[in-house]
Amino acid sequence: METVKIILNLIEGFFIFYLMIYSLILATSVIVGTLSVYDNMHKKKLKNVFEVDKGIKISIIVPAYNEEITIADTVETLSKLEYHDYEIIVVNDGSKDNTLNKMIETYNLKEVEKFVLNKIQTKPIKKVYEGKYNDVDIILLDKENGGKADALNAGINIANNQWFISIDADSVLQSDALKKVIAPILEDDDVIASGGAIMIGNGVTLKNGRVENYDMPKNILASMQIVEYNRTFLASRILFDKVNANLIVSGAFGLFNKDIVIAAGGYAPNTRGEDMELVMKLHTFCRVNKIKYRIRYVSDAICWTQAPEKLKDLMVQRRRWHIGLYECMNNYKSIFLKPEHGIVGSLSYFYFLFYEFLSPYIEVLGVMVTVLMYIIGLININFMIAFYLFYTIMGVMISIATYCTTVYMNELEFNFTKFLKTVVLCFFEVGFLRFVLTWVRFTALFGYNKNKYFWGKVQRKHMKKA
Amino acid sequence: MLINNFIYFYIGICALLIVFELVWVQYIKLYNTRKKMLKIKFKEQIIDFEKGINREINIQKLSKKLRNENNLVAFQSAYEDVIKRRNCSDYMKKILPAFIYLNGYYANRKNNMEKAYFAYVVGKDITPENAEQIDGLMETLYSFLNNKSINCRVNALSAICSVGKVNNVIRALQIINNNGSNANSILIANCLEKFSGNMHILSVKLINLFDKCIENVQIAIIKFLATIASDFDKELIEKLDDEYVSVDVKCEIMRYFQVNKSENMKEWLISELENEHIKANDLIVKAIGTLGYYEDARADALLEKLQYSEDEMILETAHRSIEKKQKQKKLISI
Repeated sequence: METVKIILNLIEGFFIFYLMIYSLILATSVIVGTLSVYDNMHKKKLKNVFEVDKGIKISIIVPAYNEEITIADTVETLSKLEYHDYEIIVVNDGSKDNTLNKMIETYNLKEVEKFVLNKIQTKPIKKVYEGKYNDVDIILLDKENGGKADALNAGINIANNQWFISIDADSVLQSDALKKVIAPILEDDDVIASGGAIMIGNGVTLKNGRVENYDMPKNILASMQIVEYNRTFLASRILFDKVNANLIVSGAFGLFNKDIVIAAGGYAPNTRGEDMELVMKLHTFCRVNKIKYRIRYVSDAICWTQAPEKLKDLMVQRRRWHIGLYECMNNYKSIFLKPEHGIVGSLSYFYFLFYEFLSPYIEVLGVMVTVLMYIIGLININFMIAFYLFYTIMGVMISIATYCTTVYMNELEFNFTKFLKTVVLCFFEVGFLRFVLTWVRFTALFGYNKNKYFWGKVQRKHMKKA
Repeated sequence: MLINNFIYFYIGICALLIVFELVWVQYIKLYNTRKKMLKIKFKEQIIDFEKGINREINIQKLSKKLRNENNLVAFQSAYEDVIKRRNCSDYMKKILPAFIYLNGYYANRKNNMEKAYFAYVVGKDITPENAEQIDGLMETLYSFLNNKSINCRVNALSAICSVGKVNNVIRALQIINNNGSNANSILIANCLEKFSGNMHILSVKLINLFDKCIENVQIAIIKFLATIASDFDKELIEKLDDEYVSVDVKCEIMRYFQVNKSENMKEWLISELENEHIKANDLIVKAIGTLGYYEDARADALLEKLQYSEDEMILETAHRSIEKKQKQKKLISI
């Protein structure tokens, strides 16, 4: 019994220590993130920014599988970006709906004979269509289904330009996003990739890629996800960017150097975390080959995306993300604590392993041990309640801080009613949604081998337009 | 207890963060209101002056006011709004002495962002004729070209191109050459496009300077020449045969000839590709891509032959060039 007590105390102590370190990382990242945003706003005010809308030719690759609802709108918005030198490549990845015909009819695309060199192996291409809209070249690739990574690789093979952007078919780039996301490349020749910020657009009204109105969505689930996204994109991404240790450039909006990506082998097919996998691959490739490089994050290059509004859809999405994370951690476990991989192999990998991948298991175990200790009578219940309450309040405060920063960054009017609504949402998000998603991530790998290649289906909706 | 203290410490940090955020948001709200009012005041001053209602301006008071970055931002915002609707040259002539004070002040500032902003303001507000009346303005902008902040360097070059004469631009590029590698060709070309004087005279001077420039500046010059429809076929084709010119510069010259078509260049491309004189792979690929822009039976035959190359990049580029030609033919026939 004494041994059991000691073991349980050790586990409990580890759990408390784990949560405190996590809180310290979060608080540090929020402070760094906030200061960075202010610095950027100050630079913008004093015109210490580049206003370059040409010079770097970009191919925007949009992989599309069953996207008939959103694809035409997405391409329409992409054709109106405040930038000159770019083309749009839509890759129809064997859709079973009307995605292909929707594109052909809407944009009057014509079938062409196109030579495509398979620098990266992909599933066969059936047909290629081309056209022009709003003075922007549009290429439509129709290919056999091979998954998102395969579709992106096919887009890379046909891309005419040295830089490409991967963007989701249901996402909307803000009109100035290209001008902003290329800025790191103009500043520093070593930059090989640059990621933008993903914001939830469920409550946003957009007109030609510009925000006309920004409201919290009526759907409470989407609102809670805004709180969560703000925390991620305005905190940890900026912190890791400072030390060139970001392991993710979001698949919804990332700019990459085509030659380096091809040399590294392109996107890995049959993986659910293809965006993170590519970035880890690039880090590894450059470090092993001693190529001087930087992967940057631009917090004001914004892409609006749709968040799932049904719990079932959200759970499917998060399960997929966690499996993708597992695959990346597993595929790249050899870099952990290896000196040649520097800060990526130490700090980044450590954080993503313990505070992203293992966190649901540690948290569930911690809760189980706490309950067990209470049953045995080993625990000071008042202390534990106080601890969890304080931990929740800490999470809420961090979320509120990032909300305030978002308001400032987007130069929005500060509305006290919305602020109060956000405070309430933060409590729900930290006190309820987080536990639900922890459980989803905890069970994500159950049946992994059986359902390895199942992507899951999420309902699509149009984004609000003015 | 230690854990309790830890918890209170973290809560304290977050509480401070929240308070800071809320106070900052309120401060920004107040600042924006104040900026709006300042802007209105500046706007009124400019319009009243131009209309002849109030021609009295205290230059010393104005220049002291504009030393504050927030006031300068408000002034600039007001000025840019007004000049969209009316000519303000009289007003600018009147307040020019203020810029003499400001030039001396911002030249010695330690804050690089403020220096960059001052360069931006100069580029927007000052005409070349006015610039000559501000003693030491060019020297200030030249000094900014050595600044460690890239934004300061870019804004300064942009301002020199907007307000300077040809010799000022040439001197600026010489300074950039001496600085070495920290010069992005796209940014430099972007600045050159803002030159407000005679583009032809500038382009002649740039070609004469070309050989003394570092690679990035050479590329920037070619990018600039491409955008102004210049006529330097002979000089640029000579560079293609110059072994001291880098491959990247030669590739940029090829891109120039994609936009500015030339019979001489067509002949050069056909001859070099047929006789396999070009050695660097990147250059061969670029040459094949450029040939796709030219209508000629020999060019077509050459591209047909290159479609069967063993080199993947050559093969792909040849195919793409043929596709481009076919597309062009279809468009012309429509």
